[in-house]
Parts: sequence; structure tokens; C-alpha cells
Amino acid sequence: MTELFGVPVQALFGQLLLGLVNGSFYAILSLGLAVIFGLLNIINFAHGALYMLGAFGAWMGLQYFGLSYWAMLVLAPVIVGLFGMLLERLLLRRLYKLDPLYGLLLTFGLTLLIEGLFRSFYGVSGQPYSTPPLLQGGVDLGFMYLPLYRIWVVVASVLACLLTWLAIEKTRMGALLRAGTENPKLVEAFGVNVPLMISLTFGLGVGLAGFAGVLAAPILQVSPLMGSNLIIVVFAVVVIGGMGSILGSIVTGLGLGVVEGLAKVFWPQASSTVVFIAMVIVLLVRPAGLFGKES
Amino acid sequence: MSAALEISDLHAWYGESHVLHGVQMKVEQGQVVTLLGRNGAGRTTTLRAILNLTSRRTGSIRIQGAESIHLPTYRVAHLGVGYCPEERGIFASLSCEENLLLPPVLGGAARGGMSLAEIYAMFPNLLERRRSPGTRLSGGEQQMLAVARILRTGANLLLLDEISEGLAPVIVQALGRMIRTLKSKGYTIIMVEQNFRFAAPLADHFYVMEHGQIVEQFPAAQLPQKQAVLDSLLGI
Repeated sequence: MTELFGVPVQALFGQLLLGLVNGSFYAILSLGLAVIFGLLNIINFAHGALYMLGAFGAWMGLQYFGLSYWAMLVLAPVIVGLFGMLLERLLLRRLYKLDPLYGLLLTFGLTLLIEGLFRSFYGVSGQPYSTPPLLQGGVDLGFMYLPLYRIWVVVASVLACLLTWLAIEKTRMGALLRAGTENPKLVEAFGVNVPLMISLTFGLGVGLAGFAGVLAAPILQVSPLMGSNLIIVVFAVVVIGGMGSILGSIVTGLGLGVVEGLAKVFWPQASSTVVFIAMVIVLLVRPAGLFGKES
Repeated sequence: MSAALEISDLHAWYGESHVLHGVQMKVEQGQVVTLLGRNGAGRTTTLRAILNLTSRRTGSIRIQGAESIHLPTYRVAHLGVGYCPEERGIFASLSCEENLLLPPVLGGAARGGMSLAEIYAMFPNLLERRRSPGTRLSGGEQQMLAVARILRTGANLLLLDEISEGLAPVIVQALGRMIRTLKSKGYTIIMVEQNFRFAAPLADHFYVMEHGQIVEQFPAAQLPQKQAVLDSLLGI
């Protein structure tokens, strides 16, 4: 058994892959959060709960309707996105003129509601969800074993993030979104239905969270608390990356996932706090975040 | 043919603050009018109220004959209104050309907008700078851009807020020529202007505002007689 830096190679690369997988979830979720905060000025604490809804959607789709993983991979984000648009229309819309803190409070309350509801029906121990047949098994590369499903998660996440980046930076709709983030009233004065654009953007952001949830279902237990375990770290990722840049969210999310994975190998006691240590350092040195725009 | 703009008894608020107290105004198609007054008189607020950009408004605002008081901002725009705010509103995250292409071509009552080629013919320096980030343009270029982008939409009622502000005299002259060209093409223009010397030769009609109301108005022909009144109202 060969060793690298005093650690078995298999363990090192295995953790690296796990780190990339976690990093993929961080990237998708922090991307959604950043886009929502940019346009709506809402800190969406419910993002973790909506990710959980995506995962539960996949499980319920299979359990009650016999719908496959692949069907739910498309359907669950759409359902979560539509649900998010409903929340925006009915509740969040009233808070735009206020301090972002009210958005945080409301979405925190929504999180407790949603998680509490699912806890009362399904308890806290998770529901198992099996890996889809097409992605079972793996490849033995010699220095590590590469599970197919985990590679799929990383690839799918990076693809989703890149597509979102393309849409926002390179399309006309994206230009309207970027302009709307800077000056929503002026964009509306040009004849653009900005209230609708805001709803759709929120829907997109939470749809991405739902997508991450479906990806997570075969890996983690589908549990009502899976979102809240993740959301605090995702917030730290957003703070570290900065709110300004889409690519920044992606790079920071993946990078921090890898850093966390490596910490588990070399310094396991610190693995759960290393992201927060990084956050403190970034806040002291560059408060706008690594990729954030100084305002 | 109905008037381009007819405002009756317009009251407007910013939050609790009652800013417009019964504005009354009628602008015919193809007229260029100027709104004069001291700072805080309510001139910018009047333009914003036309687009429903204040917190609340009551009264009647008819644009090309259509009542717009109950419409949201984006629907008012589609009645053919183009807005050039005082701060110009050039988007930093977009290039000059992206800024130019951003506002959608209006449907409804608006005439067809100018094509990109026509715009660049009228504003050649925007063609040169089209890839620069919007905010890297000079003040004069940004002002040209702010007007050019609403011409592309097909808006025919242009609300221009202090377009000569802070610009070099050469640029201001160029803006004056631009207004004359637009006037000859039949645009209806409402200009809020501090620079009386810039606005006076261009306007068909003058309005003076004070405390959120129109206190004086007269056609350009009467300007010599009204000069003394203007001096006292505007303190110039």
C-alpha cells in the first residue's frame, strides 16, 4: 500500500473525491443563494429546506408514483422552483423594501415550518434511496476506486453551474437580470416586467437547490434535517466567495469542499470547523469575499 | 389627435411625504416643453410620477389618450414613454452596446424604434466606444448613451431629466443639436432643466414649478414679457 504525505493513497484520493462531491453541493447552493441575494436582497435561509424538498421529492416520486431517479431529476427542481415562486409572490415580495434581516427571519421561520412538517411525517432518521442502476458500481483506477455515481454528481453539478453562468453572463435575459440587480426601477421604466423577472429568478435559485437535493438523495440519507446540516456551511461559503461573482461561487464551493475533504485526512478534528476558520480569515483580510465586488 | 400627455390634479407621495400638490399639464404631440424651478420644487418627481416611480399617486395621467394612473411602471413604459433619469443610470456591469440594446422595443402605442444603424449614425462616438464598460464612458458619452437607448425602444414621449448637467459647453451644444433633430422627427419631449440658457431656445412651452405645483406657464412667444417673473421665481 503506497503512501503520500504519510497517508494511504487510496484514502487520500477517496477523500479528495468526497470533497469534490461536497464541494459540488456547496457550489450549487451558494450559487443559488448569491443570485437570489443579488436581485432580491433576500438572505434565503430556506435554501437548505428547499434542497431537502428536492431530495424528498425524488424519494416520494419513487415511493408513491414509481417515478425513476431520472424523471425526478427533471421534475423535482421544477416543483421546488414553482413552490419557491409561490413563496416569493405571497410572502417575500412584502419584504423587499426592508432590511435584509427581515428576509432572513422569514425564511428561517419557513425552514422551521417545512422541516417540522416533514419531521412529523417521516421522523428524523433518513429514508434510504438507492443509486439508479445506470450509475451503480465504479471503476478501479489502481490508486483509488472511483464510484460512478460520485463522478456523476460532480459532473452534473459543474454542468448546472456552468449553464447558469452562461445564462447570466452571456444571454440577453442574463443582461436584464444583471441590470435589474443594479437598478430595478430603471429597468422597469424601460418596460421590463421586473416583478416577474424577480419571481423567476427566485424560482431558478431554489430550483438549483432542489436539483442538488435529487443528486444528494442516493448519497446521503433523505432526512428532514439534511438541509439544516448543510446550510450553515453554505452561508460560510457564500461569505468567503463573495456575493459578486457567479464563477466565484462555483470555484469557492468546489475549493472549500476539497479543503474540507483534505482536512478529514490530515487533521480530522478540524474538518468540521476548517470552513469557518477560512471564513474568519477572509473576513479579516478581504471582507467583500475572495471574488466579491467592493461596494 | 389626443395630446401626448395630459396630467390632471396629480398628487404624489414619497412614503409619508406629500410631494406633488395637484399638478396640471397638457403637452401636445411634437412639442418640446421645459420644467423649470428651484431644487426641490418637484420637477424630477413629476417625471417619476408619470412613470409611477413614486410611492403613491392620485389624479389622472393620460398618455396618448390612455389613462395610466392605475398602471404599473412597466406598462406605462409601453404606452411609449422613454425616461432619461438625472443620474443617467448607465449599468456598470454591461458594455456600452449592451446598455444600448438592453431596453426592449416597446409594443403598444409606441412607434417603431430607431435601428442600431440609425442610432450609431446619430451618435458616432457610441459606435467607437461600444465595447467599453458602460461606466468607463465620459460624462457626455454616458448622457448620449442614456438618450440613445430610449430612442431605440420606439418611445415617442421622452422625459429628460437634467441632461446638460455637469457637461462641457461643447457637449451641451451637441445635446442641443440632438434635441432639435429629435423635435424635427416629431418626438414629444419634456425637459427638466436647471440650465435656462440651454433649455430656452429649444422649448415651445415653459412651466415653472414651486412646492409641488405649477405656478406659471407660458408659450415661448411670451418669454420676453415673462422674463421678470422668471427671474423672481427662479432666483437667477
